[in-house]
Amino acid sequence: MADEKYILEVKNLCQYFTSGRGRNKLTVKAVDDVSFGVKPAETFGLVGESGCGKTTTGRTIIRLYNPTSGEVFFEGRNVAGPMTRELRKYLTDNIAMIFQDPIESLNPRMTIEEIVGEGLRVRGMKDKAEVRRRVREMLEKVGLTDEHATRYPHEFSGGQRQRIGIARAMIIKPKMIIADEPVSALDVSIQAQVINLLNDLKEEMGLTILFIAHNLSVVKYFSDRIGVMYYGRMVEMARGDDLYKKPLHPYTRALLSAIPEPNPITERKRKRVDYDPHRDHDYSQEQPSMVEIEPEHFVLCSPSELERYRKEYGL
Amino acid sequence: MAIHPNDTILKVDDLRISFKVYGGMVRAVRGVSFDLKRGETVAIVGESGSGKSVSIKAIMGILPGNAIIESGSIQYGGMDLTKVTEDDFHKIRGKRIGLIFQDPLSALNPIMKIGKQITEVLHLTKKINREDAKNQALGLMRAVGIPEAERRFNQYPFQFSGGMRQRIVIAIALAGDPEILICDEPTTALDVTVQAKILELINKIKEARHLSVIFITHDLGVVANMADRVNVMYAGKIVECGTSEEVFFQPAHPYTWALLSSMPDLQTKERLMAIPGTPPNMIFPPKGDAFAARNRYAMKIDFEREPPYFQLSPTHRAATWLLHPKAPKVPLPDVLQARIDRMKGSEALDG
Amino acid sequence: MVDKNHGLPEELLNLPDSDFEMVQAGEIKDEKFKTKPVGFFKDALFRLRKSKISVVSFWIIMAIVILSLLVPSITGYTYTEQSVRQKNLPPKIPFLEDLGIADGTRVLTNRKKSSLEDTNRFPEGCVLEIIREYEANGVPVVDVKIDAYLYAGVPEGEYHWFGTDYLGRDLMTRLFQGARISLLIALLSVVTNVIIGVIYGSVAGYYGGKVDMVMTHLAEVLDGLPYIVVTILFMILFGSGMFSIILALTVTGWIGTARLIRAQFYRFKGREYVLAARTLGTPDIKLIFRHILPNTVGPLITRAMIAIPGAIFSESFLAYIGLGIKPPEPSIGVLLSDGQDVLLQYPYQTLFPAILISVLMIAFNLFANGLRDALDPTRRGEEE
Repeated sequence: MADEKYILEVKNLCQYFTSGRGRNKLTVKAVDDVSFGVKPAETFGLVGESGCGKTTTGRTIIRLYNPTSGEVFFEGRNVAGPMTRELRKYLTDNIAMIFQDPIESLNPRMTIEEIVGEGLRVRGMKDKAEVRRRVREMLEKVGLTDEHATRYPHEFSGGQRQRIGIARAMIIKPKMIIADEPVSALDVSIQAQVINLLNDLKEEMGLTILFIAHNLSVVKYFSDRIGVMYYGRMVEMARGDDLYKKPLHPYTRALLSAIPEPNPITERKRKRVDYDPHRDHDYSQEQPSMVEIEPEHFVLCSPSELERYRKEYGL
Repeated sequence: MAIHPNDTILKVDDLRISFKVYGGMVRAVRGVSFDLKRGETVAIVGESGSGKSVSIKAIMGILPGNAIIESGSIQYGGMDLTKVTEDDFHKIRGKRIGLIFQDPLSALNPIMKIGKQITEVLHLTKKINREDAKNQALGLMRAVGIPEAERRFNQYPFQFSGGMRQRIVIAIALAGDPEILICDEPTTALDVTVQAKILELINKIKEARHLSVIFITHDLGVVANMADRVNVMYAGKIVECGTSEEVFFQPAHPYTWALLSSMPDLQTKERLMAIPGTPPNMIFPPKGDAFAARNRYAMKIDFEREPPYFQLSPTHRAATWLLHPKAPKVPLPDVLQARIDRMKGSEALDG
Repeated sequence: MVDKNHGLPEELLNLPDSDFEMVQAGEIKDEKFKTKPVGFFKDALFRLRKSKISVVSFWIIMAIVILSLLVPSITGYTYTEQSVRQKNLPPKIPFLEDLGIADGTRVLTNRKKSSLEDTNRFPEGCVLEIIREYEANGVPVVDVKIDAYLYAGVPEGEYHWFGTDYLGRDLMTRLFQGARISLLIALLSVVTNVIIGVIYGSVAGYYGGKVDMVMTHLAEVLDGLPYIVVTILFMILFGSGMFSIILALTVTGWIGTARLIRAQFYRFKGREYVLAARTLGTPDIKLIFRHILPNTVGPLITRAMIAIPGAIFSESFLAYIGLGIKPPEPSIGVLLSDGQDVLLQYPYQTLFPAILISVLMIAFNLFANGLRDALDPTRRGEEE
């Protein structure tokens, strides 16, 4: 059963993609036995490098893909089962998604008003004046004006487009947002605008957010808890500060050591750690599993590794 | 070759470049001056459209056809690169100045074995027989950290990962034995852990070969890692330049302030200082200071007159009216001051 | 070290104090737009208009369409009106006749010289010039240039601009009537093809997987059927008429469109904005028609434009091999086919339909090219 304290709980989620047939059949385990929970009004960050399965996890939760196996509970209801009309409506009413590419994610043939108002129209709102009023209200919230409503996406800058994407997701008043790399395609000076906007909306609407990104600094800034993914598996999960101060899994350490910080003093003498799963783990004797090493701090490790980690930090 | 640490090897002076497009001229570069000294790394930081890539394209002589160099000069080895013909550029490009691109996949020929791509440059740049070329290429591949160079010599680009491809691009750039290496966002397309390795490699090669490096990026973390000196560009102009320490610890231009405090680092908790608005349309460059419209500290004069450079130290200057004796004294934003204190604190801790 | 004035010249140091007042205390808003909003088709139209070739092609097509609508009713003849006496008349056009072109004359060869006197056969004044006199089998014969209209007893002031055919029907009337029918066949068959192709391709492309596999194979089987045999089959079943021809042009014609649409669906259904719409709960039908299909409009229109001359050509080909439209209805193909029988004696009977079909094909193709460029979304906003 689902855990009461979580609004979203993912249990042993697997998403395999296959290509080819017969002897050429190839299975890619994009998401492999991933479990985590997100509490109401919390921001949970998923971090990892390209191809680690973080985007797939987000898309599987909102059922852009059909999961291979596992369960996803939203407010106690399993939403990973067979797709029905009613389930789709339940999912899309409660969870909305923000996408990465501010150019790709807006239909070039629709005006901003049509794009932002789509969620309302799909939900059967016929009154055009009411749709327009709600759209304008939402646009204002994301810092755009009336004048922008009749424009087409190509006329906007990257940051503005991302704000339009946020408005589109927020207008249906979802309980949860899945934000898939919402700032990584933006210029540095614009990223802060979008992060601040998301933060304001989160406070104002009590939103739960699943924040997916490859930039650990951004994820740490934005999230209460963080899950680190590597090649389809969750390797470590902890509160942001714990992860930063007490990284256990060698991949987390490598990731932390690789982030360039805007500080010439530390940068010049920083030692980088490498991660090589074949060198750093010996799983020939023991299988790794997710262990809660301290409250809310999970790490994927074998019993002997667990021993070592415990000693290292005196846990 | 003797290394003179203060020997200027390349000097860009008041460069102005525009692009002809429908609807007018895009003023991409508007009076850029900087120099590169032997053995140092100079970073050019800026957002997309700030003119940083255009400037280095001019140095490499690879500006697109609709670009016009309106004025200025690029002094290199007794020549003005803005006046060099395409034929003469062949003798400079690849041989004396090497270039590393952002996207390693599009920089490589997809249907040519990578060994051939390296030896081709060797054949072009020096008289050399096949045997020697192959040996030198293998040497280069090992130098840039490609394992099993012998086997990989006969492979195609698609058989390599992104990081390995960038290593090949670096090997090709080094094949001509250049003295200047220009890196145009070489790690933007790569994962962080791969980026760290590539940056390390570039630093190592720079030391080993006494290269001078121009490093283009938008990532201040990368700048802190690589650069001796930093040029911050906005809307086609260098708004602030100085040594790394000066720019990171005593930033003077409000745009640099905003850049430094707009991205969270691993310890940031407070609200980010976002830069409002959007960069100006460079077909109609604004009058006065191009940053004025987005600047919280903009003064009347910012909208009327372009700020000159204010010299802050022999190596540090910034173009903002805030430094004028008559301007109100604006302290660094709290967020930024706190961060700088923290950064300096890390020095105390380490020391 | 550096002086405290930062090395500024005197002039800059003495700027008025008022210049240094802070002016942006409040919130800084996004810049206002300087341009007017431009819709997608308005933008495309703008770019289409800039291409001279497209504009000229467009007006040529329009001219032919208008002529084909008007000409048959203003020549004073009908396309079925026969007159055995007036068969195979050469072209005669007012004004041009005075210049010696299209003056309604013809050369008769190998006529008995004595027959020239017979006013029943050669009405008075119809012999214009004796070109050659010689003897054949001891009989004096001549080659003469005659006024074919007088010779055929056509009343004064009656003109056949493009001449007449072997049944004495006015060719200009028949040509434009034929163009009307050819265009109609082409238009109807292309529209049918597009409708079938769009629906078939959309379903196959959107749902993918097994559905797509079955539908694609089905289309391939259909595509493999011998086209001529199928056409003959239709002629037998439904008789030779417009319906059969359109059916023949449709039976495999839609497959190309379906393939195009399917490919476009594969390209666009994974786009982030389509995914975004899905996460909003947008139903399939809306995803197809509102989000994906509009992207295919450009290639689709272009393809349809190229298909029209293709269909005209196919129709002509069918007519040419005798599978054309039922007589006496003309079509460009029928006229070409008829003209070809007498190509050596009366080349003009082939010339005019040939010119018309060539101009139509070229104009449609050039116009389609211009349309493709104008509708190319990557060139959006280039010229604002």
